[in-house]
Amino acid sequence: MSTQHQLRFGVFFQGVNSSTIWRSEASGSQTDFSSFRRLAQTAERGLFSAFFLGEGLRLREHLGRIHELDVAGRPDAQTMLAALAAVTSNIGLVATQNTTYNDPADLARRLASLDLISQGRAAWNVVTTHNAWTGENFRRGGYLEHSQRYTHAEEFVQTVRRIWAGGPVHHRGEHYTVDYTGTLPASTQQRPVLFQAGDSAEGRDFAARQTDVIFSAHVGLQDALDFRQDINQRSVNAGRSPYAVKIMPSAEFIIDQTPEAAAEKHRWVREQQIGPQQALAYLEQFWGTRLEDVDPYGPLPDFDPVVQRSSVTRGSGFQGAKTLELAASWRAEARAKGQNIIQFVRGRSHRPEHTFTGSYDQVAERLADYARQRAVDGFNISPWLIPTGIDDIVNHLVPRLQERGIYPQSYAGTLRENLGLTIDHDHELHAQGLLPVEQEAS
Amino acid sequence: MSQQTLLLALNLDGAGSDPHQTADEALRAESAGFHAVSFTSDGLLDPVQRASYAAAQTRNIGLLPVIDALFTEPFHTATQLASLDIISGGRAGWFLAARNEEQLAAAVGRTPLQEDQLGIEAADVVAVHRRLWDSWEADAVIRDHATGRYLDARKLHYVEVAGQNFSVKGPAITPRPPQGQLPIIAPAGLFTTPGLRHCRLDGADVAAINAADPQTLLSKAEKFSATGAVAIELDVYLDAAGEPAQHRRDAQPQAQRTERTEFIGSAQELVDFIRAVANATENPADQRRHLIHLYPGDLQIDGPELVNEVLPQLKDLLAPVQDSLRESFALPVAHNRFKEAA
Repeated sequence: MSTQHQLRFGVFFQGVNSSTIWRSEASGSQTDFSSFRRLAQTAERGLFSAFFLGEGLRLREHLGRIHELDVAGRPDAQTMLAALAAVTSNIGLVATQNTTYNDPADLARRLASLDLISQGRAAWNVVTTHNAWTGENFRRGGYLEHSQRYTHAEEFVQTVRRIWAGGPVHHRGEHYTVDYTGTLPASTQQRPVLFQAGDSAEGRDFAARQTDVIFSAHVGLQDALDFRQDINQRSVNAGRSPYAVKIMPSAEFIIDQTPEAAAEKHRWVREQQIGPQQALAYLEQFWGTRLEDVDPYGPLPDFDPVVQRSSVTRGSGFQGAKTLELAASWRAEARAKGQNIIQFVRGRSHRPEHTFTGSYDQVAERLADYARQRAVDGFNISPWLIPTGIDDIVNHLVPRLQERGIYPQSYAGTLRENLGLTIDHDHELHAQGLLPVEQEAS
Repeated sequence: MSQQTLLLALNLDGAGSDPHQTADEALRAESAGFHAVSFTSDGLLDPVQRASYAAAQTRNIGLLPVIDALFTEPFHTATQLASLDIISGGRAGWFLAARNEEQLAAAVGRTPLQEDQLGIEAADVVAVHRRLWDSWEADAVIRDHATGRYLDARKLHYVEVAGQNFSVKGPAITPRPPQGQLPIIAPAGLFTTPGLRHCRLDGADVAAINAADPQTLLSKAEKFSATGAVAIELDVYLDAAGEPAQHRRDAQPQAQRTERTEFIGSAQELVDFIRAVANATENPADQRRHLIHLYPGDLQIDGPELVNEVLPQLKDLLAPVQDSLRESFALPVAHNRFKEAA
């Protein structure tokens, strides 16, 4: 048995985003069960630990209209994962679910059910976004003071964990009143695994207190090492051991047999991801107005943005007050680099460190560095093509990682076991809010 | 010769929390010729998830999760049901429950509704589902290379439902389900003005009826079927392996009994009763299909009796199993309300 640090893979069927290619002949349905089955079974053949689904609760809008340019329209996560449980045997099934637009008792029951139906393979990716705009689709609405985001989320997660620990739960809190008297059979992995992606200081502390795995944005090696150290410290502060929380950054892989072929594929992928309309729409978010008369093959607009508030509805956060400054700096940057609008936006929308590109051997070597330094516990791969986007990873990269002794040779058992997670009973009580973390004397 | 007007559904709660058993029982029901299998929230696992799990392993049987309409989020349940329809290729239906119970309300921090509000609440919830399922026109995904558009926003619609207790903006996050509109079966008690109207598209499709005993159920079926499709709800205990059904039923703990009509007797007596239902509900003037929804007292004992002794004797009464549950119910093609308005 290998004593080297093992990397693990997850795959994220995104369903709604700008990086999934839809113009290619190879792009399949974003909705049909066959696409989900194909991707999940391929991932399972490659011994991936987890298959992720996102959650959308309102269709994105752009300048007050439904956004038309990106893939959209996704099935319900847990309904889809329950069907995938029937056509897979080992891969973990991760549902992204929001703490603002769900009821804790209902969500606890459904996730526990998914865990039972998949025989110990369910996980919850906890997201905490909140706004009245999404709340317009729900009985309970969704408005929360930003400062309450994590107190609300923590109350929610604690309640869910208490229900999983075996009710009854009678909770009277600031945000929720829950009287839950149902009972569920025990899960083979004790409870569903918890994932979270928060990156602010508050979000990291929340993750250190409540989650098993962080789905991080820190991919570059040094960045990943810094993040690892930070999370280890926060875990200790939360009464856990360092490395108790696993870290799996989200990453894109564009790989091929040779470095040249990979470079060519990389160029093609970026072209497919950002066409002229997508490039203009990207700028429109910041300019706050339609740019339909602007030539996407020309320079950035020479006029200033008309509003200073960007739309919240496309998801990417941008602080409005700096719009004018930002537009000026972008114009200067594009001019200096000799980039037209498409080139500029292609450069901006993909941070190079988020993409592993090169030959299979080159990328395997780079990943070996991550394993050696224990920078991460694996990667959550966002394929740019559905449903064939991880075929080359499974067929060519995974065997090279196995040869290097840094990737599993088989599944260990439940999702918890496959991720190398253990249950710490004291910590479970802390996380349910039932046992205070002991403060060390200082 | 009688018309082929009946659909048969078998409840699979008896498969418990074992997913393999759920799939096995669904396959057995499918090959026996049942039109649908159902899953209630009294089972250990989530009814939609069990239906979805079964959908992935079956080919033509309908899938009927029983989902509460009062203490759930309509946006979530509409998404879940549309997804089940996508996964099953058009075999999903919704058995709507409106259990106005303290325990269900308290779990989500609410209190039960006034009894006279149930119909209104259920009608609002159904309206959200109907409109969300239409909120994507069937051809909303255009993948138009020339204009760079994946979607055509003109084919996506805000639903703007303002109910008495909540509102929903829309559109759905899930494309239009393959059936367009899923068949909805709802308790007959909700079909009262100003609650659900017993008409297609705007309300539920089928009224589920209960009664204290089979004879009363039969006369209710006759009465209700005059105005629309009905679902007969029946707890079934059959004589099997030399043991009288009554004996098994009496041995069952009181807590496991339900408010549904009980049928206790031999397979032949059940066949005769279902034939009587077919006669009572038959109306040569229309194409209505009626559902017999059977809840086996013990799936392991009553299930095989139904498959081996009851179904084969009913073949002449059963409607053909179609590709979609809507078609099995002989419901007309579901036109999109937003498309018609455009």
